[in-house]
Amino acid sequence: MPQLRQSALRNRLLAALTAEDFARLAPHLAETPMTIRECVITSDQPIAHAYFLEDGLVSLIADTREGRVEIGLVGREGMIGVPLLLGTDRTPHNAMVQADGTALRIAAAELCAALDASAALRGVLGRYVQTLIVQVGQTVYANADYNIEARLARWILMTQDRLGRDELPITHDFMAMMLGVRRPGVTTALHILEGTRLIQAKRGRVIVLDRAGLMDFASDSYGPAEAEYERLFGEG
Amino acid sequence: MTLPRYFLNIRRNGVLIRDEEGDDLPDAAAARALALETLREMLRLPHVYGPPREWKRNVFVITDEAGTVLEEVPYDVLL
Repeated sequence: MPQLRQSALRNRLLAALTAEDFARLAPHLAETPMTIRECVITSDQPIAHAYFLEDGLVSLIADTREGRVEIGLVGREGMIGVPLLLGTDRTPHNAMVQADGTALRIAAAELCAALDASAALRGVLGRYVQTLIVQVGQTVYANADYNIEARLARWILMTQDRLGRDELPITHDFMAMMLGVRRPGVTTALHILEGTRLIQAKRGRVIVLDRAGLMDFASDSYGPAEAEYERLFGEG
Repeated sequence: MTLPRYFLNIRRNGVLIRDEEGDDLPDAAAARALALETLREMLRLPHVYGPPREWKRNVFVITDEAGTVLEEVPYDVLL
């Protein structure tokens, strides 16, 4: 196992740690591929590992009798395994991979031992929990006040932020789940964003053409969560 | 055994919006049932889909994998 260099990592939480805290975690971090549809956390089951994403996308999902609804989105800005930070080893929600990538994985016991040993580590990861709460709050706001096209615009922006590229590997099924609607309902929403040249939709892919236009479309459903993240983790 | 795939294309203002991905369903009756479920959801959630006057003239054009039109379901069928 080659030694991990903090400066070479893409995960923004690991990058934000002090050198001492990074050294505390590094011997326990193992690079792990993440494959689409893989469940990295299963509802109500003990969480064996936390995942610091380097690339790819994971959805936090509420599974209901009516269907699945995405409640949170995590990429290289975040981690999977927040319940461990908060003193519990399980959650009623699932975490499922939505775009292939890699993560650095750490056993739950090793992470908890490091948290107990370092208030600074707990502080950094606690501030990530704050950004996730704001993100989920903005999703509640978007779902209460915005139509399907605006919500789709917001979510495409959030996906682009996390994957860091213009061509996004996302299917109608995934978009329907994140919007909490039936799959055929996505077709017209995509068509409306395409008609205004904000995106190009292909089978299994969405290409972002006009990011500023998407931001106008998403209005203030997009922005506050991203600003909160930058306030806490931005450079300088 | 893999299920056949059905496409719920949408005709709006004379333009056919192609369903690029479709759904794997047991038969054409299930495709029609999905169209009707989607329309019931649209009626139930006007804050998501907009009020019916904005979409009631649309039509689902259901096709199979060969592109053959199997059925048309006007959106106002439930109104």
